[in-house]
Amino acid sequence: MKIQLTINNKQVEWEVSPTQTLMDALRENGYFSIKDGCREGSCGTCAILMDGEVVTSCLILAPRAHKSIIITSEGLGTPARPHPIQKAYVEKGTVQCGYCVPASILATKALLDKNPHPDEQTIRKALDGNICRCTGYIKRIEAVKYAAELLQEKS
Amino acid sequence: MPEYIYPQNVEEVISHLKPSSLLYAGGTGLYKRNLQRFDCIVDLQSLNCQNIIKSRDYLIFDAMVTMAHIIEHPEVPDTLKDICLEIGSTPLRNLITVGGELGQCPYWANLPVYLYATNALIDYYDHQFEKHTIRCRTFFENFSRYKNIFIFRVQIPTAMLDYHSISYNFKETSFDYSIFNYLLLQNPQDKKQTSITIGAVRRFPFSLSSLEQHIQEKGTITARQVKESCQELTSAMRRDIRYSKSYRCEHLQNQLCEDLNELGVLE
Repeated sequence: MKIQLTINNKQVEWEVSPTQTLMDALRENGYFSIKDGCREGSCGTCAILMDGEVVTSCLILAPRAHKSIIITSEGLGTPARPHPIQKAYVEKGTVQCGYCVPASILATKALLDKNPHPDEQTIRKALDGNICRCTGYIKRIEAVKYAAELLQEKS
Repeated sequence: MPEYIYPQNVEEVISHLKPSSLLYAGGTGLYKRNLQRFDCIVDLQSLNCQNIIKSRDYLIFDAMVTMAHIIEHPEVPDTLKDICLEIGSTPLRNLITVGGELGQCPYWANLPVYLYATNALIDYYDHQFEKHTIRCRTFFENFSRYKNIFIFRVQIPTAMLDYHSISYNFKETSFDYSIFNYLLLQNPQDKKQTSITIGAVRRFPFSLSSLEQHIQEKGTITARQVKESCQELTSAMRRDIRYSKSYRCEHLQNQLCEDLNELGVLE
């Protein structure tokens, strides 16, 4: 079956299977920032922004994404011109193996879009679905706070 | 390969109420299912039933309201928001729906226990296009009877929303075996308005009726009565939960005593 969606501001039409997950459809179409982790919604590495909300794409069937607006890490910035959140993650040393980072950055974006000045408790709650096994969770909180500052300067 | 359906109205959903169809609500439990065995997958999101409405007597949740919607809604009391915040993680709370939480029996978690404790109403359609309303307790206690239905709405009595509520989790190594308790006391001065409910994932909620009855009759209880009720409850739980341990019983009774003391009910 065919689905139409907007991904990173680009309209696309994909052929998907009714039982295929959105994570698999995205990766098949070259969006490799979406990682294949646990396939049961626990690790959060497959998270995307779907209609403005952060969701685990491994738990969504691809046809549900029909007519939706999706943002992945590929749509935020480039190595030459990173998004302020990406810049904050790099500068605060939040990246080690990098597997969890694209999803974590999207969870940060979803949070800062709604709440530009979150406190630590709110940050922890917003990122509670993104598991990291390398850097731990302190640097990530620092990065979110720094990203909030960078975004404020930019605005 | 199943057919994927975007229903445009309730009638279309009802026409697919059969064992070979899968109603797709939040979808967080789909990874456990063999989707290939279904003839069709009915995506309930296209129905656009995501409203939360407060009437004079009820706080009404459409089936596709997510945990995130509940947490963000101004009319929802903090007790219920706290309960929804304990469910899953942020990306999951954006997916998990009220209808899905009820439909995935018997893998019930926090929200259904709250609905049981407040004895909410469940509105559903059967495959003969008939609309029914039942109490949550009836639904939980007879869930095998309610397999092929479309739950479209849940109504919590507004009187229950005023209840003082304490909830807590017993974190175990496995989420599947966490046990939690809701103690609802509308007004410590009016001991007759009491409800104590214990819940466990994989099992419908247990009501601590003996304790509840005692508070209603006498107005107060003793620590010994709490202990006896908890032991009685734990033995009932052991039949259903493989890894239930005695320390959970002690933890439960200590916590209950603490909370009841705080509310001025413990002698």
